[in-house]
Amino acid sequence: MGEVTETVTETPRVRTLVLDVPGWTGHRAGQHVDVRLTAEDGYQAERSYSLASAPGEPPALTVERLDDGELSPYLVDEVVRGDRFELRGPIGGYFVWDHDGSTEPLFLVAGGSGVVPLMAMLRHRRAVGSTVPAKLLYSSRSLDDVIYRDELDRLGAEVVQTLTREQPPGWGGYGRRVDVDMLREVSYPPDESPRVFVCGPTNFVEAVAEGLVALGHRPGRIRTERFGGT
Amino acid sequence: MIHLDGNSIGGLLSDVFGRDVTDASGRCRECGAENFVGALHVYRAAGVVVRCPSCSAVLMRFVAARDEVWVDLGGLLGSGLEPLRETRVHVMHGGEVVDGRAEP
Repeated sequence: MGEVTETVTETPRVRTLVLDVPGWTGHRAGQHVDVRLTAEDGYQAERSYSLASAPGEPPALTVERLDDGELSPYLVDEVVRGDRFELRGPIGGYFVWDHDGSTEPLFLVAGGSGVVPLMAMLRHRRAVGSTVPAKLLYSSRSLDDVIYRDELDRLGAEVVQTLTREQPPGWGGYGRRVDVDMLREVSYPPDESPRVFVCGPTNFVEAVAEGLVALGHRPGRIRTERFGGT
Repeated sequence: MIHLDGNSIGGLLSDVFGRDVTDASGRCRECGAENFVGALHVYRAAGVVVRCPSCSAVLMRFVAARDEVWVDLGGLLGSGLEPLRETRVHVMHGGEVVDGRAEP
């Protein structure tokens, strides 16, 4: 069971829940947990949510409300401090980045709330004082949808943003969906052997992964995490 | 139908195998492609079907009901993955349940 100790409103649709989980033994950057809620009639629903906090910090989930979702409207709109729910984790040893002494640059590509596990990696990198070059390419619909907006400047990593639907006056970033040209301009060249993590909706991840392979990145260097549905 | 990645079912997999296996690798019986479990393609409906990213062959199937889970690893070669020997984990081969895991 996890108990909510703090909530942070990130955007109108996204909230972070900081948790106290008795027996929590720590997590790795990029891992997720499965949250299970049980209704009064016994109906159970389970969904996976990425951990946003750096290893060593209390587990924090950043959840986006899906209007037809079974769990996310509750987690984003209704949960208050002191509420408890069942969770399992941390889970996953594949989509993770550890500070392990390697010097390969880190290239992270996020679509929407796909930024959450990548944020855990960047927070981890900052917390341990890693000098590995790191770059985040982050696609959102509009400025209001940008999660962790104030923190992006304080990560000590290069952050390149694109706003696909609406750009404010004077916007200095990109204003279209991620495409091969953008990836060519932003990514580390393949001969620098970057470690690449891509997270977002399925079609976003497909487009980015295909684009990177077309630019000469080895498929085995690209790790993806798709999310979809409710 | 859209698919997710193998890492999305890490929780279910640790129920079945007793440990995290998303960074283990396995080979497709059909095309021979070797991939990390975390990179396999996952289709969720009433059950979970895991397919080869290279040729789309079915590698693993899982059906979970209450606290029990039925498992078919028939499309996977040489993964070294062994389901837990627990009563709540039932192993199937080609649709036949062979609890106790005697290889047919």
